[in-house]
Amino acid sequence: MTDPQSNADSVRTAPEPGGLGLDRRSFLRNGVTVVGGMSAFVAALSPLRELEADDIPSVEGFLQKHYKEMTEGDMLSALERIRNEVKKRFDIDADVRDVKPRDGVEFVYALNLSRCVGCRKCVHACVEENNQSRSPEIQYIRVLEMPRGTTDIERGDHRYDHPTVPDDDHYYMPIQCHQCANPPCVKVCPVEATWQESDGITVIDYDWCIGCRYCEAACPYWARRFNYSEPVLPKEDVNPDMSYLSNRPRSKGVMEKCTFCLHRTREGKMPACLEVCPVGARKFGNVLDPESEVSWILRTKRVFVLKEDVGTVPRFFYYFDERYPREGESFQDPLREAGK
Amino acid sequence: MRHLLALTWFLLAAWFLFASNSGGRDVELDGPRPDARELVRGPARAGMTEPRVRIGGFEQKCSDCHALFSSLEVTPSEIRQHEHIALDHGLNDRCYNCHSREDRNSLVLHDGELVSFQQSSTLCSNCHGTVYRDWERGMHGKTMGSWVVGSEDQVRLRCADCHDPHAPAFPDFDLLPGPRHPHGPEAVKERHVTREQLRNPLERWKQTLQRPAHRADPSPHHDPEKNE
Repeated sequence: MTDPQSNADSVRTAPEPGGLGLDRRSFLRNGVTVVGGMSAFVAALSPLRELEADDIPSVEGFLQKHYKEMTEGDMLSALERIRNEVKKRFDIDADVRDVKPRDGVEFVYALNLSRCVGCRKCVHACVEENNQSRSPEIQYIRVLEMPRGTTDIERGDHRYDHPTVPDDDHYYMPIQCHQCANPPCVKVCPVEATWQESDGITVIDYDWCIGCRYCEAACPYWARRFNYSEPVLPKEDVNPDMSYLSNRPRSKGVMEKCTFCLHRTREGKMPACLEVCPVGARKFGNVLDPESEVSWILRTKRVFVLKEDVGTVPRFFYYFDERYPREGESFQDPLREAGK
Repeated sequence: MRHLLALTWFLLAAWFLFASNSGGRDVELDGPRPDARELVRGPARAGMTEPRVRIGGFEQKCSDCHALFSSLEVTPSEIRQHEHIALDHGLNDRCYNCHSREDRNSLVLHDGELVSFQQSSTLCSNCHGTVYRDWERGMHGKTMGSWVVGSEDQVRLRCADCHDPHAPAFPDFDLLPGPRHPHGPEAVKERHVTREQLRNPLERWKQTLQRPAHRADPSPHHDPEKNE
């Protein structure tokens, strides 16, 4: 046994004259190691094969400042860059603006639970307006079907399906971003990519977001959505009326959320979900104006906010009309039954 | 031994390089989309603003015909003319409660005052006072165009723009598609259990039989009603 070993050693220590100083065994051993290592290196870099030119940020995009630090000129060039990107991606001439909040305006939303029939028109009108990804599906509004007699949203079901709505034994509770006055999502953002504007709308700078999803976890209303993959938006579905902080096309890896359609509402229009509601359950307006619809609702209706105890101070209110059940309407009052 | 390790390493690398991207997950991303016609923003129906009807392809004023026919003293309990009208307005089941017998181009309030079809909401307020009060403040009904109070773009829909005056309760609505389950619509039916089902011990037991254990272990749900 020792002979071949010593023989091998002697071979190794005595290289052939004129050779590379390698014997066959070490050549193979090192060769396999090098090839394996190279392959592993190539494999590790293999995702780069799927990299397209669009995936690499442009120099301007990379050097772009935070929204609040941008000068007017910076913003103009950023809007121009977005316009070009939209043109390149969808072949559409979009009207991209940066709409600033109005003075003396604080937006508030009110939703009449007595009227909502759960038809989900608001959900889809929102998707149409705000250029959300169609695949995978991103929707800002979640309509919960709730059993009567409770406001515990843990008992709600958003995948309900009936031939027609409303279902007699349920009521419907749409939930979207509540635009909190004390927003937990803003507090947790490590890069200040999301903040509250002076009219109460919490916005996201999609170019600043790093996609850590802390805000999604912090939101008690499940209102924030994440682009897990590159959003797919058919060209014919793109809404060309865009603004920097709301519905311009997003990219993979950023958060998005309802902005009360700020590109519409800051120009005096109504949000898309309100305009499409067939029963007039949705109310929107300036709470600082005592004559506005929402001010009247807050003063005179039975109003509540969701999860009041978590201290978020939402700007989204639910209210009821007081009325008795109509003839033929099935309604069991659990409290009354319990009393009997 | 080292060669074996290197070979495994190499094969693994090759697999990462060529095979790892081909194995797609069973995830369904695309699904039904709503018809664009469903999402038309605006009034739910076209409320009448002029006393005109289309009969036989011609547009007529109400008075064009009713000038020829004398009106009955009392409305019969069933409609013999205008059969497309399905009268379902509760106790309010007589034509002359709202329509003027003398002037067919007008509506009539309870005190006999005539109002135009444009002002039909005033007529509704005769009975639906509290709702009308809410509507005046924008708490009931729908305002379109602009949220700015007093803006020219603001359109407050009238009662008849949403409700059919002859059958004012809303009919049932069609339901637009719900959020897609990543594993397809069948998965929703199979795996989705409502909270109500979870609250029922018998249902919970049935779920345990049907599905693997990790999905069928609902946490005991706090029930505030039963504690009272």
